[in-house]
Amino acid sequence: MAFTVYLLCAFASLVCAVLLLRGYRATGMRLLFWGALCFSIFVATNSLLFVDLVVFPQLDLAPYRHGFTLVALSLLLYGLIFETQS
Amino acid sequence: MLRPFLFGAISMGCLTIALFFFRFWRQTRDRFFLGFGAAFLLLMVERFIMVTIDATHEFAPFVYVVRLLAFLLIIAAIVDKNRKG
Amino acid sequence: MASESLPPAVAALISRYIRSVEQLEVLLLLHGQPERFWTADEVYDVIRSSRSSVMQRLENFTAEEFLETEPGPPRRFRYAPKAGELRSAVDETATVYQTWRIRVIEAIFAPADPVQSFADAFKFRKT
Repeated sequence: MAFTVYLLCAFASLVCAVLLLRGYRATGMRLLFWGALCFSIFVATNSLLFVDLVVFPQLDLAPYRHGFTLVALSLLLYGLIFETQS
Repeated sequence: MLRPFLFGAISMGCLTIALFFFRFWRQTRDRFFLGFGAAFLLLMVERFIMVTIDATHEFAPFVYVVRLLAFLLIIAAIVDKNRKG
Repeated sequence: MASESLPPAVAALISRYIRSVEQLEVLLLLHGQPERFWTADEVYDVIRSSRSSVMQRLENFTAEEFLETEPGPPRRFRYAPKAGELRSAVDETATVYQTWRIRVIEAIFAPADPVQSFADAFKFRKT
């Protein structure tokens, strides 16, 4: 069950990342670029959960996952703060 | 040591992002932002739950159900965006 | 913001296709006489911007399927959008442009809003 959920999260993040990247190319809005970057990292962290438990059960990748999540959020926050001026 | 710091920072990050999306919703009246804001609010709740039940990883049912809800909200917002048009 | 008060179809048409008042005038001129074929020179006689840019606009609008063309020479253009949505959006723009001229012009030059672009990026099909 948990696998399915995290796979779905990874997939949803991938859709967001692709759509935002496409939007960035069409409009040149840098906010969309930071959003795409954030969701790309979400793809990685959600997929990493799978690697963590199934591929290398003896390894604990949790600190990396949390670290990457924080980086992703910071990138989106940067975009929200610096690239929206209204 | 690192874990509580990361979780606290992630929670605050999610909350701040959620508030930005709520502001955008108020600005544009686009329901899409309501979905994204709620999703990031749930991601904050997820971290809170992980700390309070002291889950060692994200496979505790409470945790993944909340994340599932968050991403379902994101999916719903995208679907809704494409239905209106 | 200026474009807020424009009907959504008009705002969308402008943000997607219209970058200058000249473009808008060319499109609306041909829209006004949908049965007539125009040469670039005839359009220029009304619009008076420059011959080469009028030709460029006509070709772009043809590529975007607002116009159909007869090879000529001289090449002639006629207003004939295939898509019904495009047709109704132009109709609406023409009506709005008569009464809300300034708002339409402001919408052409208004910088796009990053926040709205963020939400619009999630539309699978571009409107």
